[in-house]
Amino acid sequence: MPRTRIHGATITGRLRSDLGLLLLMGLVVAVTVAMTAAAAPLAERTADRAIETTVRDAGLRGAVIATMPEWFSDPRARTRAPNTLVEIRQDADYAQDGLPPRLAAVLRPGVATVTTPALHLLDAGAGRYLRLAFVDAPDGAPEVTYTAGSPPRASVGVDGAELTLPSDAGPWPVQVALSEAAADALGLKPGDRVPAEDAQHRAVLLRISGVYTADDANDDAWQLVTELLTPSQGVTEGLLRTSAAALVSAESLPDLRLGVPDDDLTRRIVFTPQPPLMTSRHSSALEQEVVSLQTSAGLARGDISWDSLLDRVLDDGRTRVSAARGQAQVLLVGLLACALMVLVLAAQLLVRRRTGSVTMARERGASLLGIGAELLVESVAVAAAGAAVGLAVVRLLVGSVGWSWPVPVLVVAALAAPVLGAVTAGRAAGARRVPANRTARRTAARAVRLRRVALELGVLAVAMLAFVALRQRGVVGGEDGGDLTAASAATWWAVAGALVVLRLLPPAVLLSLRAARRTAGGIRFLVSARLMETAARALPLLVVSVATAQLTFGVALAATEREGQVAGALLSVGGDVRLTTAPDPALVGTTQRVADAPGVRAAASARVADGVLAASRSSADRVRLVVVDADAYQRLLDESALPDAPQLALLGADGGERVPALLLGGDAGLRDGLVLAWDDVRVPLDVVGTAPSVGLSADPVVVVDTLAFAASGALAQPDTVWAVGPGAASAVEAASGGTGSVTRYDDELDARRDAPLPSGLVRLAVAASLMLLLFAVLAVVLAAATEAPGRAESLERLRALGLRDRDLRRILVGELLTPVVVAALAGLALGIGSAHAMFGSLSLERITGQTGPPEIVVPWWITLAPVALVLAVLVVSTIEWRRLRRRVLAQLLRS
Amino acid sequence: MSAVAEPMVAVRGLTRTYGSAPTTVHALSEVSFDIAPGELVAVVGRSGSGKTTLLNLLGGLDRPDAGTVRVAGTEVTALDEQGLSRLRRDTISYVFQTFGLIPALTAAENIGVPLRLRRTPTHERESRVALLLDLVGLRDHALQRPAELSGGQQQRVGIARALAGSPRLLLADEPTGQLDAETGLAVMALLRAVVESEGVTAVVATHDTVTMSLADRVLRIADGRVDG
Ligand SMILES: Nc1ncnc2c1ncn2[C@@H]1O[C@H](COP(=O)(O)OP(=O)(O)OP(=O)(O)O)[C@@H](O)[C@H]1O
Ligand SMILES: [Mg+2]
Repeated sequence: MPRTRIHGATITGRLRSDLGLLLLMGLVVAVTVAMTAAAAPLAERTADRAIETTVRDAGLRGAVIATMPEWFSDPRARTRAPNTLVEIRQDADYAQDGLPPRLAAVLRPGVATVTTPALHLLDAGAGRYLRLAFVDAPDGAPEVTYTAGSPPRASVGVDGAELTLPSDAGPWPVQVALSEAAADALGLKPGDRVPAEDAQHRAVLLRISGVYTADDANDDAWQLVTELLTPSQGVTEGLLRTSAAALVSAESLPDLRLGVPDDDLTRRIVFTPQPPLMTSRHSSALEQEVVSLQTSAGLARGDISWDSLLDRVLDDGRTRVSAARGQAQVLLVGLLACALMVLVLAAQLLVRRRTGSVTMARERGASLLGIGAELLVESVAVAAAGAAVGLAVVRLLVGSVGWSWPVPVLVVAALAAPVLGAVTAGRAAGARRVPANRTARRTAARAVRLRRVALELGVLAVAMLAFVALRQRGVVGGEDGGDLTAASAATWWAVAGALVVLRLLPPAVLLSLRAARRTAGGIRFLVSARLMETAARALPLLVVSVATAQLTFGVALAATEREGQVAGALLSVGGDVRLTTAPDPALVGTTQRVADAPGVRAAASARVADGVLAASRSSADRVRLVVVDADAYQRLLDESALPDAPQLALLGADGGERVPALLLGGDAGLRDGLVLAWDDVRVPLDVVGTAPSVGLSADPVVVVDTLAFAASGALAQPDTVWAVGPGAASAVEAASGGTGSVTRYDDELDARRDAPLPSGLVRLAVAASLMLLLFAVLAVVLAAATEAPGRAESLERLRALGLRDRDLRRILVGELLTPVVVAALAGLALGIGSAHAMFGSLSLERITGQTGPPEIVVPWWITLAPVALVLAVLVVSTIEWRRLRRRVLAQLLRS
Repeated sequence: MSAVAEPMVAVRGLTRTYGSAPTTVHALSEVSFDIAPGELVAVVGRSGSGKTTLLNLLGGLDRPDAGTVRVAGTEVTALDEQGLSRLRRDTISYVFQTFGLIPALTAAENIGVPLRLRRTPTHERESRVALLLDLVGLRDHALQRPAELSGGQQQRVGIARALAGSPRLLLADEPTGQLDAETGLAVMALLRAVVESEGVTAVVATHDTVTMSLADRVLRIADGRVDG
């Protein structure tokens, strides 16, 4: 009676008899689907947080700055413009309108500033400079409270608001206010009239109206002109130089415009980013917009000129996100591959248990399609139930679900059993057709061998291809980091390696059999004989070694990155501790005190300035300028684990006209005739070597010696102190007396480890490793269960021949353990091998924040994975032994 | 009493039922008989008559519901698992219908397996295997694996393996079941011959009339009872 229809009772009956196994398959589906479905939204979220953090950490480097064209007024008869504030606000609106839409959406409304260069104060002693600054934030100017005097007012009454000055009129007074710190530093008080002049000796007359304190010193607006709150002092060519900034109010703004030459006034609109709105997905478009904004028409055409490092900040963030994404993909591909293989193993076990009924159905005339369909109904149910559970969990915990990764899991879960079932049924029916003729049998066997060799060569070729792709392209790149070929290299490598081991195993077993041939005992001999039959079973071995390899790879990745972060944090801090303050000559003394403190091995002070314009004959860039006592800095590097920079010794040399400098990064043309623009001074440099990466700058780094720099006439007061040694942190804290900010290496390391990308990767590596271990154990158990009937039969026969209980156990353990140990050790070796071969292409340094690839760390405890597998085998073999030794042999003669 | 040699096999009141209450199958009921040392006994009966059940009980592969089996003076039915294991190692051996050879091992190595299980010294084992190979006429096939041997040759290896440990009692359940009539006869003739030369007692379950003709005695079994 041919049967092609699906038989309901058969399905439910089978469901009941294999409930445990089906539940297990459902569980594997659920866990894998959950993990893979969560991966995409979690990665997206982590990427967004990483971009957000990068932009936030960048501070003003991430700002987009519009510089407005210079005001122009008739020098013969200058007219006071009482509506200047309105004009400025219109400018701000105009600039805002000039922003591309996407960029505009992620920037805060612009803060308008009008600033002057440092004006030399004339009658209050030498070396005192004051910049004038007007700041207009959209939510009002930064709030201040006057502790003396009053806010700056207009220098005319209401009726004179629009007066016109003749060209020969004297300087027009501008009312300004000083912060308490600035008033102290300059020795000024409310009511003082201060004559001043600009660099071209044009006179400016200032009136101090009052002294204020900031209501919120952390208001972003203060960051735009830091000297408003924190004046700086330093010694140049033996002279004390004090500089500060004074605040201009909306009322005195028209006077500023009237009293200061037009070309001394710089008008800017500063748009700072809103980090939470920065998403990874849009970062590339934003970057493009920033770039095109800057290259659009500029000041030359009398239009706004745009300036920003946001593109660099975003690019840096995106590269790191893309590196992390690529690394995550490497881990996920391995996980997915193992999950799929475990599902196939489970399906094999299921079909093996049903061989009888499936074969019988076939013999009774059921079509292969019908047999497959019956199994399909069941596996689809299992896959759907598992997927539903997995997706529901992800939905609940993560919120959204990524669809692409779980698809292969569902396909394999649904199709493995029906396909294997149909193949089994087809074989059973075809068994009778095995050619009786020996040559025909041999031809058939050769065809099978050839197919296997072709398959293995195919895998090897793909593994090579993926490896080459990884080496050439790395995992960074691709808009969505979607280079699966490169990301799958580690997995393919493991599969190819496992296939090689599979090839080597039978000859090795044969050798062992030969070696045992001449012995009296039977255990090793019989184990080898059993292994000859079973060791060639590819799938369990493949799962165990690929899972172990990927697990090793993942653990090594996490460990290497954590270890690399130690170096990265050290590089970023620049020592065990760093003190950053406003530029202050007193830091030289602070550094000396720190260096003399107990437990401090070395200390150095430096000026670290970002965004310094550096131009060469053929190129220009914004660089990080580091002005440091080269000897002290070299000692500091020697005393710490930081990479040494022997070329620092070259900085002390007399370079003649040009200041000897070290340069890191930037394009090649930058070294040629490099000139820095520093505080209105042009400093020509002579690049004599490569700079160390001071504080992990994303921009090129220029390092010069303090003395050589000062000798060129440029003034750079230190704002940074680094110290190394066990007592460094407390010494710096004590010496700083609470001013400035102290960054400790330990805190930095913690912060880095908690940063979104590294912590996300570590979590992923841990989760993936645990799942891989679970899969490896499942593979061991499923394989043992699949082969149990055949093994039981041969071992029962040996029992009938007089095998002792004790020996039964030893044979069982030997048979089950050998392939697992071989596969696990191979996996371990393959994992370590691929870590060494591939970590260099995974851009790990992007995550660790180092300058080069980190040193590979493989923790010793990774060997616990094979140990865990051995334990699993011992448990399985003990259970099987208990069952076998109690089994009555009555069926033996009937089999 | 004193002059009569003790039988090699003494079966008394042997009963084995399968299943419970409504569907109970009395595979053997109250069976008693003796087999003298050196005898080759054929157990014959229709399919389902209880031949395999009897052989299982004789060899200690199964336990009866009632009755006793003594083999070479040992009460098999009273032995624990360890005792049964020792009995299988030293006293009783089996020839399987499906041969049950280990595919990875050569004919000679298969024959040597029982000797390995008792850790017989290598030299002794090798000379015994060589002797048995001669005995079953497979000297020229010693290094062939089961897949390279014909069915009859495989069963000859099976018989040699059963004899390797010099058992007192050899149990064979339809040893020729998988062989064509001619080969089956040859194998039976061989069994007859080796039983004589090795001096073992043999119990062979069979449907085959030719086999019966080679036996010293035929135990007829029908519906779980032995007559004759
Ligand atoms: N495990 C079992 N459970 C229930 N009944 C059984 C079992 N084993 C055997 N039987 C029944 O016991 C009876 C005797 O079976 P046995 O295998 O001994 O017969 P047999 O003479 O060896 O038959 P054959 O010539 O076909 O091998 C049969 O009716 C069989 O159905
Ligand atoms: Mg039978």
